[in-house]
Parts: sequence; structure tokens; C-alpha cells
Amino acid sequence: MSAGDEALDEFLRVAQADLNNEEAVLQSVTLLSRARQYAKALALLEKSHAQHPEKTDTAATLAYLLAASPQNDLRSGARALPLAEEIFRTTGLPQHGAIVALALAELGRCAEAADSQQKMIALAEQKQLMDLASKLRADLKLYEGRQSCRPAGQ
Amino acid sequence: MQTRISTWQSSSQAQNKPGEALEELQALLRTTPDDMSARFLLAKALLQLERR
Repeated sequence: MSAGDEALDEFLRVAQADLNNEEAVLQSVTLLSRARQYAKALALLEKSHAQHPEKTDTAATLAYLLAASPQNDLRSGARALPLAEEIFRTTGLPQHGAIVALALAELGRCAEAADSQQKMIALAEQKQLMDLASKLRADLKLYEGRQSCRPAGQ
Repeated sequence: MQTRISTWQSSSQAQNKPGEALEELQALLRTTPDDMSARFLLAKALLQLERR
């Protein structure tokens, strides 16, 4: 067993013992996703979010996976969208607004996704987050002028 | 041993010297397997080792 596999086991034990430990939850999700265990990652996020809805990073990661899980059958744009909108209302951060665009794209609402993404690019630039703005601009091309713009799966 | 754990927590030794931290954390967890603070540090040390 590699050190990474052992780390995953240990983070999972800690997270399952205490879902309030957000770092352990999110590290577990990262390592599970790396191991392509997306269903397990999603289940952990769902459980953690149900117990601690105030934890923004957990909620944002859940919304992201619901919108753009590499495993298409785990996605739910209909659930991702209101969750992402609520997170963005709370934080006002462009990276969270970009999850709204992702959810819209997953729902096939490409023009709205592009519009939302453009607003997030402007917001990122206003906040001097130029690397983020550049990444969001690259993703914008996936939404603009398309009939189908679902985030790429596996 | 608990003092060493506190030292790791305060100095981030589990991050900086994961090999050293690992052995002592594993020894501690053999006697107190439910110590989730130690287990969390162990997980971080393992992750750090993997990244090196």
C-alpha cells in the first residue's frame, strides 16, 4: 500500500469519526477522486454537508461534484444549481460563481452559463485574481455558442 | 509522547519531518487507536511523505 493510499485510509477514519473536521473530509474527497472513487467521495460530501451546512468549502465541493463529476451518472445539475447559487450569495467569490456556470452548463443552459461565466471573469479581474480570470476565460469557450456544453466526463 | 504530539502540532513537524513524525505517531496509535488528533497528524505526515 502506498503512502497516499494509507493517507486516504487515515483521513477517512478521522473524517468519519468527526465530520466537523473539514480538512479531513476534503482531503479524503481529494484522494478518493484521485483514485476515481467518485461515488464514495460524493457520499462523504453529502453526509458532511447534511450535518454541517455552514461549511462553505464542503458545500462548494459538493456543488462542484454534482455539476461536473467525471462520472456522469453521479451528476445532478438540478441539485448543484441552487446549492452553488446559495454559496455564491454567501461568499461573493468568483470561483464559487463559476460553479453556478458549471451547473447551468450541466443543465444544458449554455447561454446562461456563458453569461454567468463572463460576470465571474469580470469579478475575478476586479479582485485582481488574474490567474483565476484566465482559467475562467478558457472555460468560457466551452459554453459560448454551443448547443451542448455539459462539462466533460471520463 | 503526548508532549511530542503537541510539539508537532505547534511546529508543524508532521509537515516538515514526516518520516520522524510517522514512526512516533504509529507507536502512539498502537496504544491509543482512537486518538483522532494523532491519526489526523499521521494522515498529514503520510500525505507529505507521498509528495516527496
